[in-house]
Amino acid sequence: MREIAGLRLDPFRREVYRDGRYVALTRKQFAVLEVLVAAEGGVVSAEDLLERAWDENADPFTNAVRITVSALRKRLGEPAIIATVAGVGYRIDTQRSASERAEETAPGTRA
Amino acid sequence: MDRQPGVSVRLKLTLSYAGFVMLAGALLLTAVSVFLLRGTPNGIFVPNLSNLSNLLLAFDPTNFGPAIFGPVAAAMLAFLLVFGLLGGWILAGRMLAPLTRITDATRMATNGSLSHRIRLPGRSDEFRELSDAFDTMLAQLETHVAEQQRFAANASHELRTPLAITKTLLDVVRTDPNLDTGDLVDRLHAVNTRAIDLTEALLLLSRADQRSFDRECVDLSLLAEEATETLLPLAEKRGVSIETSGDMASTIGSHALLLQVTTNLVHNAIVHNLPDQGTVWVTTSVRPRTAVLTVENTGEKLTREVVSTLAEPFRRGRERIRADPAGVGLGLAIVTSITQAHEGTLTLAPRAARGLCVTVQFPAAPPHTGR
Repeated sequence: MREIAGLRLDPFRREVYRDGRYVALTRKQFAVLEVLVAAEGGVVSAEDLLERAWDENADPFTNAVRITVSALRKRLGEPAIIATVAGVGYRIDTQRSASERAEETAPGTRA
Repeated sequence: MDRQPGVSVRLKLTLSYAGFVMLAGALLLTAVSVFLLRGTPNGIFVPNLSNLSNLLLAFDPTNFGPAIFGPVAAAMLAFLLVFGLLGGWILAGRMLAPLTRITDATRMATNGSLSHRIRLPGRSDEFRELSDAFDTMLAQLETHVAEQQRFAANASHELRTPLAITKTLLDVVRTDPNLDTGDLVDRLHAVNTRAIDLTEALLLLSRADQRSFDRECVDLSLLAEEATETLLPLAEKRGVSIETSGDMASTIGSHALLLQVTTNLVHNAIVHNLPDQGTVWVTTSVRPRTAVLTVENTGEKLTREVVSTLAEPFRRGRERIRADPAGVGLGLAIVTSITQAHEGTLTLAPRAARGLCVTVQFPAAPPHTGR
């Protein structure tokens, strides 16, 4: 069980929860998220993602990573949790989502 | 079913006709006797049958009066009995005649002759309705059986092809032992894969037709993304781009079978597309009672006539092309059968600007059944 920025991944049952809510993902979407979560907020390049979430026969010029990441973003919902680092790759946005969640939950916890 | 022999309907009807005629006649005569012959001696009601000439008096028109009532009544009742039995027998026979034709047709259908029709002439009545319903049933059975036979013939033909190719390849290697076996193994492998694909497609078809599968809540938009993931390498190889969009659309059904539907549709949309720069749009949406999956693609201009034949088994695009490596030709047939098994509808329509638009509608899952 891995947790980061409100995301909870169960690698054995291949299930993902965001803030306690179940999110249904496809196989590739889960694989990509698993790699990003394992990097713990670090940047993962598209090439790395392709190598680790797809097989070695994948076409290096494929759009698969871009398409899967954009579908994954949509499935995980707002606020966006996967950030694009221009020219480098993708990472889980731990800071922003953590601070936003703190702001959102703060009034509720005080009341 | 074996049954005990019984009284025929014709005889039963005849007896009941005769019975009613007798009853009516007796009642009428009783009424006459009660209201007209009151006060006359009771002896007249008992005709003296010991003397036949006494009875014959009844047929002499010059005789009349209470004295003659007894013999006349007996003669009338005897006549009514004969009339009722005879008339009843003829009438019942006429009424029941269509039943014999229907029974004959049923016997012929049982023996395998489904082309026979009863076609009862005349205006509508209960028997005509029965015979028309029977004719409709026979016609449907006939088309269904013909369809099955054609399918079986096509399926065996398609299955024979890879086996025949395998045999040829093996013959070649037997006559020429110096042949490059690597190439041969590759070709055998390809042919064998094709045979397996075809067999699996046939199995899938029968499984969907029997409706033996587990049902769960399935989100069509997730299936669309999964199918896109699987087929993206093929699409990129053919220079086709896939755009997936739409809302979550849940239905109840088999995840594996519905994924097969989506994959087959997207696969067809990629394969039957423009040679270059083609596009496939996969969209999901929810209407009040239905979950809708739409797969559109660019491609050749299609007429309605061509589109209406696309779902037939073993048809690939315009013709049944043997050399086309696109698939086994069961894709849309499988989609049709799985869709029907899920109480859904499949609509194929040519797009205004070239290409095809395939819409599958499933009953929407009731809310709160998903996780």
